[in-house]
Amino acid sequence: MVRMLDTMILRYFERAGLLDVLLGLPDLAITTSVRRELRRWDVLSARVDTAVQNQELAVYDVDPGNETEGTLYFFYRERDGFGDGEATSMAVAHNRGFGFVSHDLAAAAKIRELGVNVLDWPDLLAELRDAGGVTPSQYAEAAHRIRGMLRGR
Amino acid sequence: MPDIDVGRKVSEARAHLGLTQAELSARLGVARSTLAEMEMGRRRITADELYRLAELLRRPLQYFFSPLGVATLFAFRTAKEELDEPAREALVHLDNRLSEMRSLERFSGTIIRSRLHPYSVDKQANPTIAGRNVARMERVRLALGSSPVPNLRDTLEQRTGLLAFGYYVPASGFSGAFGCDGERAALLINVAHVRGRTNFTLAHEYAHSIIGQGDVHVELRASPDSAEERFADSFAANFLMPLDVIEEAIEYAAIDPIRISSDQVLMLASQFGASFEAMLGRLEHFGIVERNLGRDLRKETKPLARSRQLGLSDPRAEFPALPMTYQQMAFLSFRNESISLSRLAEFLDLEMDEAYARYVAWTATMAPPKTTEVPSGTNA
Repeated sequence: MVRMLDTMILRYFERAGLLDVLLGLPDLAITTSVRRELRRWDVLSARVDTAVQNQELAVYDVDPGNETEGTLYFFYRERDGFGDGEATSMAVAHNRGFGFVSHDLAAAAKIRELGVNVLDWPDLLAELRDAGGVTPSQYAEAAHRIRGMLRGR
Repeated sequence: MPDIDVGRKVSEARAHLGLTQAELSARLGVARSTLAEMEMGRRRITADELYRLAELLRRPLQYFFSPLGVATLFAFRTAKEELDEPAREALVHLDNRLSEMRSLERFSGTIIRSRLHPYSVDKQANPTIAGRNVARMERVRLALGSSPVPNLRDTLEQRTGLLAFGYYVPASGFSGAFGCDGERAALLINVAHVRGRTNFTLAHEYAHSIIGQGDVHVELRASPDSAEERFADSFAANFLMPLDVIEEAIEYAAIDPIRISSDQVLMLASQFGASFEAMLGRLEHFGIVERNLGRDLRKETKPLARSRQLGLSDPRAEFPALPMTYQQMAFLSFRNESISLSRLAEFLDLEMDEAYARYVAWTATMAPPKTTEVPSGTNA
């Protein structure tokens, strides 16, 4: 199943030094809005652009010709108050039956109750560990760093 | 369910920027006939094209998915050919801000309604005298008494609910604009100008807003001689620097007008939120300062450098892009959990970390909620 990544998920894995490993996982995607939100971090943005070019990361956007998807996006923006990256990812995931990866609790709760499969960064980290992409010590170190970032906020 | 018609929204946004189909299609890299078909809904717009159109038309993505009829309709008083592209972009920015105000009202549960008092001015009246009279009435209505108004932005926000946004428009004759969507109104000020001028521009645009609600007014220096412009200029000068208030300030500071120094003019300018030149011009206009003395003062004074030496407010001080009420509504919306952190960052035009830091700083300034003890035995 395709998993739509929210902006901060990519940022967490970059800060944990595991972005390249993450991008090795199959079926990951972002929206153009997320890609734009990543532009504030030069190195991360450049790496994501390369990943898109190399087809490690797919890009799916709200289809302007699909009224359901457009309406979902508008509701997530204007009824539920989500950012553009979140709202586009949620609309695409919801309408196309994709998964959604976010650490935003409100976004996760909203879309989970609509039947969308929701993941968070620990799920992806565990998937990397189980697939042998990271060693147990790398796993522990990365989890420690990401939790540190979240505590800092 | 919203009636989504992306093509019509593209057409509407294009019209707001004053672009022809040929101009927009060239920028988009498609044939004019292709764009025409997109606007008529006969050809599907791809996601890539929509992102590109959003960028070209200076609109957020959600604009194209908004129900039809929600967007503010502008009525331009100024002829189309007088509007340069930066001015049109500024107007679109103002429209976007009005739209954000609507969203913030819903998210924060706060209503923004400007309390503007419309004046009707006889078309035959002398605009300079009419401007002065309306300025006097408006000072009384806003209970300004004999106080200078060094920060007109805050005064208008607190006393009339009219929000003023800052927007940087370099190398343009554009000074400011007034927008109203029927329920809420806002001003947009070009912050490329120094504060003395932004304060004056605010007063000038405010004059237009209380005379003609429902329009967006574009002030371009190309047409300063119209009756409306003379009215607004007269209003601004008399609202910010009326004779009686200047006289009182001079008397209070024990200034001898015959021997007035440039430092004293600078001090008065700071007190009135005006530039050195505007203050001196006003003093000459009222005959308080002789024109010969005024000429000498202009020659010997470097206003900006001297203001800094004297520790007076820097006339070039920043005019924040967002008014305080708007920011508070965004913080309230986040506190109510009506918006996510990334949406808060979008409203504030900040990175998420900085938006959160500002939010934390804002919560620290808020009084803790009052707790009321319910006496025992009562039904709460």
